[in-house]
Amino acid sequence: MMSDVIPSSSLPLCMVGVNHRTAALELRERLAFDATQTQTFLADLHARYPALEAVLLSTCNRVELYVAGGEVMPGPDELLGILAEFHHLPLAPLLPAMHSQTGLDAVAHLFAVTCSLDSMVLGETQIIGQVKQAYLSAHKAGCVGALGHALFQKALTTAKLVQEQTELTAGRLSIASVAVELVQSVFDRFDDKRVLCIGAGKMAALLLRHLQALKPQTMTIVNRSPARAQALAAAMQAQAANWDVLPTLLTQADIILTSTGAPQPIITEALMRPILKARQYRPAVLVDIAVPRDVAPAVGNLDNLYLYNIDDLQQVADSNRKQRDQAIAHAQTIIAQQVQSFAQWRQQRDLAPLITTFHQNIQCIATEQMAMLLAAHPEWSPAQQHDVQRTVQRIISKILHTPTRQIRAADDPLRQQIMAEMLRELFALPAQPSSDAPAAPLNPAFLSDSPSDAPSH
Amino acid sequence: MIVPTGLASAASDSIEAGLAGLAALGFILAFAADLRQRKDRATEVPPGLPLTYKLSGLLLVGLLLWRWFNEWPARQPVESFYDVFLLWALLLTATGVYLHVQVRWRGLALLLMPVIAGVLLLGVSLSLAYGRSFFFRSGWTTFHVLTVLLGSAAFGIAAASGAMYLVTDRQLRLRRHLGVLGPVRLPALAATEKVTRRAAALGFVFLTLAMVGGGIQTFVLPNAHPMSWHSPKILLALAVWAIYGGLMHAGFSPRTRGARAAWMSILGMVLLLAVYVSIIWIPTQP
Repeated sequence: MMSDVIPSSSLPLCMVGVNHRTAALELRERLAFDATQTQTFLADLHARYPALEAVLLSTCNRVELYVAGGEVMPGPDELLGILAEFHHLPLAPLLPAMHSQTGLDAVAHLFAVTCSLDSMVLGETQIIGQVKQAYLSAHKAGCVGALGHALFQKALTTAKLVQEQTELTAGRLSIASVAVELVQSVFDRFDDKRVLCIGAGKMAALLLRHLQALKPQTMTIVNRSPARAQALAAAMQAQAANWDVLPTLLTQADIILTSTGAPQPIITEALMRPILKARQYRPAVLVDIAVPRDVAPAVGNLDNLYLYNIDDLQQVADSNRKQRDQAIAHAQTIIAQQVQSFAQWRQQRDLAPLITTFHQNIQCIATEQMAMLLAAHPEWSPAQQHDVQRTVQRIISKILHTPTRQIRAADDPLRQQIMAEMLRELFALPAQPSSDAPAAPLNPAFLSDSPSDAPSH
Repeated sequence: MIVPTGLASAASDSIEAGLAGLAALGFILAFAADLRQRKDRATEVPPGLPLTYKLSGLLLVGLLLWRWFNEWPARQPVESFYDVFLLWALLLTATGVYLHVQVRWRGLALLLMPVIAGVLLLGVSLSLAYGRSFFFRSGWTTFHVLTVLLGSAAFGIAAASGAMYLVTDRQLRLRRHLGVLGPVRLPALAATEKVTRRAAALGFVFLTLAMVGGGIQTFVLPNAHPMSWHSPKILLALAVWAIYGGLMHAGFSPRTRGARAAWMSILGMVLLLAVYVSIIWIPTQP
């Protein structure tokens, strides 16, 4: 994808692995790594290739190994073989499922993965935390160098940019999480809120489990069959109540879930009007997931009552999904910009030693010639010597300024690379030393647990 | 002794008023451009802030800096309607930039543009009509004007928060985003209601103090310029005071919570603006 920007060979980076697009679940789970296995694997790899940087990303959707740098870069097949060997799997069945990228294509792939563009559920944010965890694990195993730090910190920053600037991760997609999102749009705190669940079916249990995460003050379950209410209440650490006290519970509750099999609405406008008054018009959210509906539609027209049925929730989920789809192009634009920025950073980093050597060589020549000139003119006063030295320095600065600026300002990385090669050849500069040798320190901000707090890089 | 420093007292002041008007026009054009882009939805990538918005924002910064440094220290930084409204417009412009950067609130930046233009035009009109420094007459005038301005800022926040409540309420009832505003994700209803109530309470305190100060300078001080109780300014100010008094009551009255309180905060702001406009009708009184 990005290979037209800069030759991939100039960036010693390779990604190999399997993901949900290339491999079935059975294969992915056989190749998966837990935290301990990851550490062991990275330690083994480090022992085998000490100069190689490596990060292993293992999630339910993918197992991907990113390697960088090193005098000897193993090929994709070999890397996959190492992965397979760890799990004592034969390589042959894995090869058709393998996917690999090198250079900037691998960078673009990592950024897309971190931004959740490559996830099974588009826009899910769990992947950001998983990438961060993989990066920290590799750092702990001593497998991350300058390139790895820059790459993964940039990937996390890109994910944050995409989160902030697009709707890719906005909105929930499942019925239960949409219901929770709607509840959160009405209330800002839940430690003083009461949840009432009417019905004790599977969907009710699922919704209650989602609402439980909000830590409400109380959760009460009412069912025509008290035994089922008590069973669900016990499972959810909630309390069960009798059907007879339903009006009282409706007066107290702030979040009301209904999921009964009643053929007629059990909550009608006539029932809710006096209850609303008794509630002193406190707002309430009613989530009706029953079919046929448990809550009469007219209840939704009453002040400060927000009623959602199963179709409403589905409609919101569909709308969120559509919104995420529309955000893909914007997210891809951001990723392309960040890959370009990473390539430029890398290029500048590669240029720095070359330019320093270039300046040092010219400076060396000037110093030698100045010494000869001063030796030939002992009659010059210190002021005259100073003037001559200053003039020579100015000439050198002016001569060096233009080529340095031109090479740094080159927009096209390929052209920049050609210019660098020409400079090296014309001035007989030594071969470029590796710029990845000193490892950049880990940014402490990336040690935080939160997946979305990656700072700008 | 501080000299009169309002607008229209010199040619340069007229130029400043003209430039503020130009900035207002820029915000109106930015509103039209952004609205058109949102309706067309021609690009998949959301467009940036319109150019005229950025230029008008820079113009405001330039104008304020010019006024602050040109006659410093003879002139105070915020001593006329022009200065105050310019500063408000600039703060609103910065808020608009912030809203635009935050993807979940981007749609609100659109609503802010005509508000900024309105603030600028009102500031210019008031300053042209009043034409003097706040500090011209007496300490009570200064007290009155400062409390009015602080109260107005608080009521502005209450009204904005009330508007946010209504947008969220509407979105929740329609189960979708509102038209050209696009996907705007606002704070929870309970949070915006709290902000409305607290900002209105603060504004009410300032407004009460302002009315006391205004009453003293108009009816009690020996060198006062008597004003009729029936003047539009006083009647409107009393109406605003009553509205916000009612809004305070809404905090304790179950029937007026929620959307009703939000509408009241907006109505109060509209009436407050009418009080400002009444100053243009009666230019000799602050």
